[in-house]
Amino acid sequence: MMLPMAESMAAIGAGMIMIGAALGIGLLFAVGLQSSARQPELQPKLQTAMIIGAAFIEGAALFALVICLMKG
Amino acid sequence: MAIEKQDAVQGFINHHVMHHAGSVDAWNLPFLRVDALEWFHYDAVMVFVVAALLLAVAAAVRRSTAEIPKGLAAVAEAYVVFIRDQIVYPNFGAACGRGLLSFFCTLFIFILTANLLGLVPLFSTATGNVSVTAGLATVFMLVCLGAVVKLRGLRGLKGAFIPHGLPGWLTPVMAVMEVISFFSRVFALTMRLFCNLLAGHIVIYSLLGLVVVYGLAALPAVLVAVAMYFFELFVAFLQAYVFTLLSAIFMNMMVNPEH
Repeated sequence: MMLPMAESMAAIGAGMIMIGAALGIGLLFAVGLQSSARQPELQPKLQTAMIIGAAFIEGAALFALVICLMKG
Repeated sequence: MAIEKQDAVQGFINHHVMHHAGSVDAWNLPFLRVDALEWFHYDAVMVFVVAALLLAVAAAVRRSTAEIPKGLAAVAEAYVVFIRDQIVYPNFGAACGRGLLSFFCTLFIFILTANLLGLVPLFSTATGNVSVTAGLATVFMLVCLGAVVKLRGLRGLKGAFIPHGLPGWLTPVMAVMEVISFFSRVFALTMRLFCNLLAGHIVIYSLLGLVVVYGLAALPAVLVAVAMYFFELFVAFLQAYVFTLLSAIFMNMMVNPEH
């Protein structure tokens, strides 16, 4: 039933991955910015932790993106 | 009429765009076409161009040992001091970091130079090719394992991959997860750098391709393409920094496992 649209389903999947990754990284950085505004002396540690978290989220998004690229 | 324009766009993309974004068998310089050797891809040549440029800069600043550096030496020292104080020493400490500093400096400066040279009109982006970034990530993987073995001995591999402080039945599962996540980090480093660099170029080429269909009315698209070009300049610096920082953090997690 959905087969004629198979190529665009991969693009829709890629868009959904983007929503998830952007939400995750946005929430992470929002909390990080708020915390560094409350305690500015912790800012280097918070920045390192934020970058690590963003790397993990982006890694998961890239796994799903590879499946999207394979299937479409 | 629409079909002919679509064919014109397809022809434009195949002739002018795909040889930047895809694999290249010939160098299409403006008035000259050189068929490349069978085993030299354009991006591979760019790797050697970047290496030659960096060796030339290194040879030029090799003998400047003044207390306050001037000129090119000041720029080179600024980069090394930035990497040492922001990336390597906060993660590894002074003793351990001194030996690993040259590796991270090499990573950062190579990736940055390759990204920036890709923005020059006739050159291609070396790091925009998945083979080049996969090579960089593989080198990182080997140096990581080598650093663990050298700094902690063969027992360091046990300490890096097998977490402790867990209930007995959970430890084998977590050890398998650690090994998988080691390879997934290497893969993510590859894909992050490659996708970021390639996507910027493809967006610019797509925007410029609108000129084929719409002609002069596509002038705002050209202005947006110029804005994307400046954004790509920022992405070049950011992605080099992120690759080096994540390499340092992952290597630190393996060499000094947290308790």
